[in-house]
Formats: sequence, structure tokens, C-alpha cells
Amino acid sequence: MSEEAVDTHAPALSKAQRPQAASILHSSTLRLPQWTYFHLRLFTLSTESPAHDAVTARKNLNTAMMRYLGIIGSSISIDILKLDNLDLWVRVPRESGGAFHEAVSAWIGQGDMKYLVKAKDDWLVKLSDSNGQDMF
Amino acid sequence: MFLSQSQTIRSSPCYFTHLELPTEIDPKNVSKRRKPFSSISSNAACHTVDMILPHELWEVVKSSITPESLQTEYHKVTMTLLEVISGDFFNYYIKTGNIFLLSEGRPHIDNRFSLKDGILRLELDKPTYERCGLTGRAIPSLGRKHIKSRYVIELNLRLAQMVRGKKGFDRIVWAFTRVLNEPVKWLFYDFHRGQKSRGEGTTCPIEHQNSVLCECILSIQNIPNAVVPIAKSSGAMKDQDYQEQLLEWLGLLSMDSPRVQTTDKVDKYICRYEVPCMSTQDAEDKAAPQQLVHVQVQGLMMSRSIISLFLQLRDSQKDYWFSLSAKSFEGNAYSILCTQGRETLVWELD
Repeated sequence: MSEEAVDTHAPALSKAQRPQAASILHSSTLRLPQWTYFHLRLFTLSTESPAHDAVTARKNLNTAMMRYLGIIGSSISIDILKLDNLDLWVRVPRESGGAFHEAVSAWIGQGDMKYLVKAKDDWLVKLSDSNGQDMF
Repeated sequence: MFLSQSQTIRSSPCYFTHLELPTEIDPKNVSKRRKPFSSISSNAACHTVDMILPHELWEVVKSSITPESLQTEYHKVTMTLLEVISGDFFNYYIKTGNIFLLSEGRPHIDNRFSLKDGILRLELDKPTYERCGLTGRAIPSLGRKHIKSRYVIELNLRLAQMVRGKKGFDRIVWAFTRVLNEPVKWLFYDFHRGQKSRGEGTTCPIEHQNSVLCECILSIQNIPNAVVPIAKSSGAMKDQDYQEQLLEWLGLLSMDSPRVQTTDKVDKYICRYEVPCMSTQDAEDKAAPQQLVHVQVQGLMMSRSIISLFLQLRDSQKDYWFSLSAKSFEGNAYSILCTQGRETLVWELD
């Protein structure tokens, strides 16, 4: 409805309104994102690189949550968005983001494995582990 | 959820705008106060630019999107602040030319310096600011409220009184000799590169500084069988959940996640992500997967280059959609999506 209103007003605009003016149809502010995104990297002290596939990663994260919050921790949904060798991108509900961060930081797996939190953000397009600092 | 409310830190908001751009935009005379160009030019420099476009559109524009055509050559250089405001470099680049300089350092944490349009901006912590002896203003920091812990000093070096021997300038020289005297790593971009010739046989001052010439890196990734959930009706764009899901989908494409492809048959235990779906009609439309291309540019990208990149994509073929996202050095990001009907969606993240 509102875009029709904008259209009908368009010809009647004064000269001050430049022809290049973009007409805004709708704008809103998103304040409560649904998810929190993490970029994790598996770090290990052993010389051989550990097996790291989606199922192992999910199991590791599940163990971490279980150790930190017990049976409740295992109920927090974790979605693995991408897995690239030792790098892992996951999303968790925003309310559980803090709990997940702490659980993952505290976890140490077999063979002295642990996850490093490289980046954390509420918006996936903003997730960046160095903010361009590696360019210098 | 399972921890106290204090654990849930308020997240930074995302500003979404749905707008219609005029059919013709003069590339030489772009209004930088209007969206989406205002969101591009509010971030002077970006380190990553992601473009997602259908394969057909990429075939059309790929010859014109190259590191050479983007004019993104920049220098890496190590200099002290005193070297910036003295000698040939100062006269050639700051007094007469137009350059952009950005120093290493995390925003809100480290001391960082930048130079744009002749204005040198120093972002300092309190102890350094107090030793400097230059006037600045306090800026909000990430820590406690009402405590001034970070300051900004802005110096317009193009003013006529900014020459050696004048009192104000000598104070800057004093601060840069006694306090801020350590070598800093910089990124350097010359807006007048190639335009101004200094005569045969002479070199630009930047080449005396042991600088390294760099070029933006373009990487191209094919995404076959991707489901495109862009709704045709503008009514759908008013749904806040849909706005968020579309942004997430763009993010997944930018990180080359396999979850957006129809061929991805991952178990629900590992990932429950589903491409957003608005109505039954849209569901029918999206049944046919498209072949997409993800083009990533990494390097120092000035807002001017991004605007020309955006206009180039927009004007090349009107029948295809495309999206452009960028992340700036300040930690901000924005995404712009142009639909087939040339409606534009803008997400701004601070």
C-alpha cells in the first residue's frame, strides 16, 4: 500500500526533488536477530592432524555443551554451516550464544584438542576474524 | 537462555531499507547522501567485497571486472607520523594531491591513524592523548559509560597555516617527534595515481619509502544448484523475519557454504538450515535452481571503486539480480541486493 502512495506522489514532487532521488518503499530496523554465528578452528598439540568431519565436530560440540550445562546443554540446537578442514562455522540461537561460547572455550578433547573462537557475530555477513588487520 | 540475562549482550541493530532506484544514474554525479550510495560512501575503505550474481550475468560482466579495471592498486608502507607531515611526501600528496592512508590497529582498542581528504585523524587512548598536547574530543568507547577513555584528534593539514614555522604546526611536529614517534604500518591509496606526471625520470615520493605495491585479489567460486529465495512481491519484503533470513542466505553464499545448494543432503542432526520460503507461488519459482557465481575481492577497496562496481553491475543487464556485500576496516558491513525489477534492498550493520 505504501509503495503505491509513493508512486502516486512521484509526479507531483517539486523541482527540488532531484530526478535521481531514490524512493524508499519500506525501511525497518532489525534489533533482535535470531542467531549468533561463530567461526571456530580446531587446535591440537599432536603432530598429526585429527580427523574432523561434520559428525565428529557435532559430537565435539555436543560433548562441550553437555560438560558445561549437563543434559540441558545437549538440547541447544547447533547448526554446522560449513566445515573446511579444521575451520568450522556454526550458528546457535542468540539467547544461547553466550553459553555456547563459554562451553566451547572450556572444552578440551582427546589428544589435547580444543576449539579456538576466531570470530563471533550476530550477523553472518559481518563475521570476520581479523577485520582486515592481516592486510598490513 | 540458560544463563542470566546479563549474559545476553544487546546486539548491534541492522538497518534495512527497501527502495527503488531511478532508471538512469549518472556515474559521474552520484548523490552520496542517498541510499544505497550513502551506505557505501560512509565506509571510506573496505577490506572484503563479495558479489553474488547469476552465471549468465557474470559471463557478461567478467571481462570488465578485473583488478586492472577496478583501479585498486595500493601500497603497503611503514612510516612514522613525522614522515607523513614532512618533506616531499607532505607537499606532493597532502598539500596538492589527494590520498588515503590507514594505519594498522583495531578500532576502539589500539591507537590508529587515518588520513582522508587532507584530514589526519588520530584515535588515541587517554594516556597517549594526554602526552600529545594536541586538542581533541572524547569519543564513546566500548567499556563503561560516562568514562572518557578514548580521544580523537582531527587535524586539517590542507589549511594555509599548516606549514613549518607556524605555532600550531610545530606543536604537531613536537607530538610526532616526542610521543607518536614509532614507525607505523600503513595502507596507502593515491586518488590521483597516473593522472599527475612529475616528468620523466622522477619517481613518486611513496616509492622512496620502501613501499610494496599490492593489488586486490579476485577469487571466483561457482555455486551450482543454488536455490534463490528472492520474493517477487514487495509485500514479502516487509516481513522482518524474511529480511533477516535473506541476509543470512547472502551470508551463506558469501562464505561458500554447501547448505544453500539443492544437492546438499545433510542430516538434521548436523544442520537444520533451510532456504527461506515466502509463499506457495515463490516456492514454485524457486524450484528451478540457478547457477550462481561468487566473486570475492580482497584488498583495499575505496568506496569510489565500490560505487562504480555497483553501477557497472546494475547497468549491464537489467534482467538479472545481483548482490554486493562489503566489510569495512571499522568493523561495519553492508549488503545491497538488486532484484530483477531493479528494486534495491539495503542492509546496514554497524
